[in-house]
Amino acid sequence: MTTIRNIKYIIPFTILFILLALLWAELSSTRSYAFSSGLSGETIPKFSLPSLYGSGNVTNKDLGGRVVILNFWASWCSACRSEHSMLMKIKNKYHIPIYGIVFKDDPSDAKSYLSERGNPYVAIGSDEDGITGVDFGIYATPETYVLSPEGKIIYKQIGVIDQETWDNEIYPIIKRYQ
Amino acid sequence: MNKNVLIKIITVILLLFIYTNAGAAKSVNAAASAYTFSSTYDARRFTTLTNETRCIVCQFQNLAESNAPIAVSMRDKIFQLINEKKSDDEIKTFLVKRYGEVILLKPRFNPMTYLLWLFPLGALLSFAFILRKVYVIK
Repeated sequence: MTTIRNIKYIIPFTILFILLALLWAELSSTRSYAFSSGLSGETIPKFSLPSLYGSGNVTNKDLGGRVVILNFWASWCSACRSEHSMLMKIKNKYHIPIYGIVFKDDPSDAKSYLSERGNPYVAIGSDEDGITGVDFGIYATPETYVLSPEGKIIYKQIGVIDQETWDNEIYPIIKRYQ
Repeated sequence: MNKNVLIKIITVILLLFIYTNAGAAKSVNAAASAYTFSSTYDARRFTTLTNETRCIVCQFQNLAESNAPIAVSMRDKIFQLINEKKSDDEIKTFLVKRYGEVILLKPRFNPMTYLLWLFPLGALLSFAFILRKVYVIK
């Protein structure tokens, strides 16, 4: 009887301990910037968007053949502003081609934004209705994908790329595929 | 507690429940009215799907109620998929692949969610088992 009574008191604490241990394990293993997508390892969704500059379209086929970065951004997005200098650095110092998809933005606002800050992109597609963003499963801007030469998603990041993320996460992955 | 006070509290809770649900139904209809469907069946499917899908940026709202830019695009995408004659299950699979099982306000019953669905039953049975042990011994 004493044993049963002891078990009665021990069980809730054991359950609580297990739940706290699971919570701790989950929190300590989560990196807020790197994000596993259900599309990871898969070929990017097909898209064909009007080019922000010029008359043609930017399509998924333009992105194949080499490791590229695909960046979703918008001129109304304040986080994109803080990321912009890093994108310019990736273009000028690391020479990795960056393609842009401008998400739910007015093309003239997007052009003024780039004329003020510089254009880090090889080409930019204008996703005015945001459908391509949903096809990629984006949450917000900025969001960045690293694509293999076969056009497969090898890395996804939600939020701003800073120097630390670039050095520790993104650039090592790119070097592996180059 | 005084009986009248109890009745008043229950009435207030019921009124709040009716009010919030009426508000939700209104916004659901508002979301669907922005689109032209080929049939009332498709319109009903759209309403149900957007009502059962979580807004990814304001997670306490469903997709039908949310005015976030991404939510608008997701509603457009669901409309597009309905017009492409995709089934409800195919549309849910599309969303889950991109945003995870959490996107569904009513998660599906599959190996990923067995624990979620069965845990309350397991906890209830364990609790009943412990109670029985304790009281039988007493």
